[in-house]
Amino acid sequence: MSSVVDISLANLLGFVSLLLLPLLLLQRWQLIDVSKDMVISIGRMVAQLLLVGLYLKYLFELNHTVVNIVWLLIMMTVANTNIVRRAGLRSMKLLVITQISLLLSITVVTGLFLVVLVQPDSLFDARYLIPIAGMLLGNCLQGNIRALEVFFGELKDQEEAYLSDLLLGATVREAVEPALKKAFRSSLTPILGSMATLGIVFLPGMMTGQILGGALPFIAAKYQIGIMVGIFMAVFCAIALNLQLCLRVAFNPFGVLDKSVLLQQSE
Amino acid sequence: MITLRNICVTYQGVQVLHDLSVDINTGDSAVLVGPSGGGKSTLLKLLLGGVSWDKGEYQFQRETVTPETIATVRTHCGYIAQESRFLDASVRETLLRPYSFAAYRSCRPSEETMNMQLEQLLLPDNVLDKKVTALSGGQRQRVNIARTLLLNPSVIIADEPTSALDDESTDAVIALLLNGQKTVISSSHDSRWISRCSRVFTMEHGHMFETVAMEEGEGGYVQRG
Repeated sequence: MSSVVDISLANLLGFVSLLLLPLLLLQRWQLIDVSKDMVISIGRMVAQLLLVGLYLKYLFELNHTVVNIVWLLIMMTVANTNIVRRAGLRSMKLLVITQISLLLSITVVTGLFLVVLVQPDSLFDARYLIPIAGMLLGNCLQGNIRALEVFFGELKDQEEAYLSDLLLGATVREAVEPALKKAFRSSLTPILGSMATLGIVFLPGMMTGQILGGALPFIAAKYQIGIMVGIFMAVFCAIALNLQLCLRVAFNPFGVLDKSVLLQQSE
Repeated sequence: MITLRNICVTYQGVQVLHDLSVDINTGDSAVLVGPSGGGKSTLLKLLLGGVSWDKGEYQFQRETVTPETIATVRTHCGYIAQESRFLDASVRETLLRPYSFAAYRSCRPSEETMNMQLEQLLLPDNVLDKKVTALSGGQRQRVNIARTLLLNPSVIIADEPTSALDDESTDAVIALLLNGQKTVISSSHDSRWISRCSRVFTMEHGHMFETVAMEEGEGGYVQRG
């Protein structure tokens, strides 16, 4: 098989213009809010991807260890602030623990993926480090948002039950156990669900990309298995670590939830 | 047994308990009365470390209560919450939930003990397999009380324990809780419950004062003197 077939910008523009059809139909059906969201989201997606494409080109050419690590840290910090805000929380302490959880889980799993599977000449080679870590980070972002949202939401909804257990002599960990279980279940279930249907119902992005890039399907499948295991491990570790650290920072010394970590409804 | 000295609590910048001092002795049955929002529930939760205090000292059995010692207080005291909100589980699972905690793991009650406790609270013996969410408010409140009594605490902290109960159930609860065998600290608006308590404290706007001294008389406690 040969290398990737480049897409001309004119052809890409032509393909993107197909979106005018759903846009016109949405306008006609008076789904103005959806069409507005569509324009904004697709505009952002195109701009972001083109910029990243250009930026990564220079990053790969430069291929400097420090620059690569700084880029990864920036990606993690952006992901971190997104996680805490979108989970309806606020607290410097939560930002710090989410950053620690992401940093540890992404570093360990990306490292293992590269050392055990890819075995590049340099572990900090931008061509491998950035896409693998980025893919893991994207999944950790969704998993952590869900886990924190469900964990704190459950504690808020079941406050009396949790407080009753605590005041009857449970440790914080024992009292929050139902919320912990629910958070784990709801954040891991989507990944397990997509794993179960992978390859039959849909071809995953990484595998498709590699095949389009000229890789043999069987090699692409092996990479995909590796990345799926990596995603699961990274999400699991990040959630486990994050929730574990939450037990230390989101509760007062008597084990009662510190409500200042929750965003008010109006905020 | 329980001593509070100059306890102050502030919540979201507002002082909700002002300089409270009180001594509760072993065997006392104390009740807090007064309008809603006066600080009764806050004080009851404070006794179990559910609310932190900014100032003052709290002693339990002559030991100063701190985050390090609160576990001992919680295992000596049984808490009955005002709202009996449980997780979606059967009555049996609800009664047994505290025995999954390290503090009670070795003293799991038998099926017979649980049934006996439920019977004393006028709950039918087939209730064990029912979902708590399928029970009426009064039944849930009695399951709540049964769960606490099964733990056999020496002190009971109860926030309006009879608020959801009919007269017959209220009598059963009074007979079980206010029989002089346990120290009881409660809040209530129920005149029958209040009349059976040995000490009555009025709470208003976070201030507390002992209203009347009671003593045991015919048919319960009566005003002393």
